[in-house]
Amino acid sequence: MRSVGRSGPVADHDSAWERAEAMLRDSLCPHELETYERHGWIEVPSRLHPGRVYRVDGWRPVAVFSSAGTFEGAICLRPRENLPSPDVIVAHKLYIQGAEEEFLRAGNWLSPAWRPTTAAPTVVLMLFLFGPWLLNLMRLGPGGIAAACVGVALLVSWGIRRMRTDGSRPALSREAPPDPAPTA
Amino acid sequence: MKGVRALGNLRILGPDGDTTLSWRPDVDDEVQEVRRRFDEIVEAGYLVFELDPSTKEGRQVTDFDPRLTELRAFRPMVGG
Repeated sequence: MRSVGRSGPVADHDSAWERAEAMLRDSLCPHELETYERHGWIEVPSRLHPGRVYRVDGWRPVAVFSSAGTFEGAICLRPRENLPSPDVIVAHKLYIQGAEEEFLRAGNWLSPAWRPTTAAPTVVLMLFLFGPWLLNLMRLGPGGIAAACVGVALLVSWGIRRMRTDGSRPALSREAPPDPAPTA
Repeated sequence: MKGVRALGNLRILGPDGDTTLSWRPDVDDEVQEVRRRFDEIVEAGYLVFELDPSTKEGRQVTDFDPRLTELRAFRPMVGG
């Protein structure tokens, strides 16, 4: 089955992709298919770790979520050859369902980056960085200190505003997909 | 179709799309041909899984059983 008006590698690629997409749809249960059509990924429950869910999209590492829906990390396990993305989804799904232990052993675990949960580390860092500068400004007298305080206040208010903006973004959780559906 | 055993399919994933080998469980030549190919790819390190036709759950298989109807095979993956 080739695309009309195309020939050569592009048509072969399209044909391979179409077959892979058809096979993927044939390999999913109704719930998985609905999730795939809505988000572009599927969720595969763990058999070894109750509550754990693997999110598979075929082009990024497999995301791992706890039973509470929090992001635990990702497992990078890719094919040796350039498989169409729907084929990768099928392979990951079967791998997890049929040989999860081997899947976990073969893949590279990517942990989420550490982030401080309070502002304390940032405040300490800022004092460490700006302390000597502020002490030097004392030589300029009260005007210099006032100008410096205004500058620091502006910097802090910009930082707080930025933190609030980040906080208004949807959290990375099972209920809020972090990225749009995959594309070719 | 009553009395007719379901056709089996072994689909081997590859860069150009999957290659499908089909067999009828009651036709020895077809079963032997697919069994030979199955053993070849397992020998080559491929992972083979049965896809349950009703639940769509995967189960790893290492021996060919002509009674199975849906098999998927792919080369082992590597950690990225």
